[in-house]
Amino acid sequence: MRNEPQNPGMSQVERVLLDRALADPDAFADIIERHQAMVYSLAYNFFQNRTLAEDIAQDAYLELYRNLGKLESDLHLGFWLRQTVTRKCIDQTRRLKHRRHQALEDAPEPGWEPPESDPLLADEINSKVALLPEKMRAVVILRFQEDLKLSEIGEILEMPVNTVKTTLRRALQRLRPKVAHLEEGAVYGPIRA
Amino acid sequence: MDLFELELERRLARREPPRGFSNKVMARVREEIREEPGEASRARTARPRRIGVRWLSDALSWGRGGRKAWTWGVTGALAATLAVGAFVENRKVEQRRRAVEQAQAEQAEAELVDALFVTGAKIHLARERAGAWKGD
Repeated sequence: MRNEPQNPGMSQVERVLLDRALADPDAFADIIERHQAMVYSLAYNFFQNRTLAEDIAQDAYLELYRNLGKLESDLHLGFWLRQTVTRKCIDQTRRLKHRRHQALEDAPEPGWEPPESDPLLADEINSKVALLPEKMRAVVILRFQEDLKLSEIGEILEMPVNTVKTTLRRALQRLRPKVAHLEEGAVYGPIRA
Repeated sequence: MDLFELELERRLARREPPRGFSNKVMARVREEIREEPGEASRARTARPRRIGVRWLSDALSWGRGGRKAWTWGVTGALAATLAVGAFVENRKVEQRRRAVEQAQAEQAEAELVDALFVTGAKIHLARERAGAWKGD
């Protein structure tokens, strides 16, 4: 299901890719392609906005390129990317919140689309996920998109496992009642014949 | 995992980025190399930091373990400040208590001396009167 291995150490393939990228910048494209679905999807599921997701994913890769030499053998590339993208998403959410309170002359430039304008937001579950508080959203996405264990999520978000567990439970409580009507038929088909 | 969670997993499944994503990133990478070739190259090929330097750097940054180190550092400093403050305050209270006790002891001693003096004077007076009665 997942592209990269789940063990904490860096895989041999990734080490080779990193070494190649260090020697030849064009080889960096292999690293991008290996993880792009994960990186882009984390940002997309966070904002439900393609443009914003692409920008954040690009920024994360650019940061990875700048830090290629600093990645150590005990630091998993997938872990680094997940943590970086999640942090960028959380920071961006806070910036967007702050921007909403700014005066009109400080409004974003034309062409920037707020997350709500994406037509895919019509999707009930995804839109409800996108409305969760940022840390709660990150926990849900890392759990259900990346299929990570609670301890792994805790490492990425630097949260104790029990906090992750509580956050996830509260997030699911928030999501369930709001999409209850979907469970009755719209998603799974009619329960009663 | 129940039906709802399975549906959530399906809705949040990974998806591929738009076509040309990789090329756009590479274009930005090449642009960065053009703008700052020396710095970009140095950053990419920098050797992993030694453990001590890495810990210090992490502790001073927002990065891996940095916030934890800061939190522990600040907590430790606060605890140490509180402990030293409590010790100093305790010593001051003890000194004040001793001073009060000493003053009370000195006052009691002075009162005792006064009492003895008065008693002696009264005894002397009583003896004089007794001697006078005998003389009569």
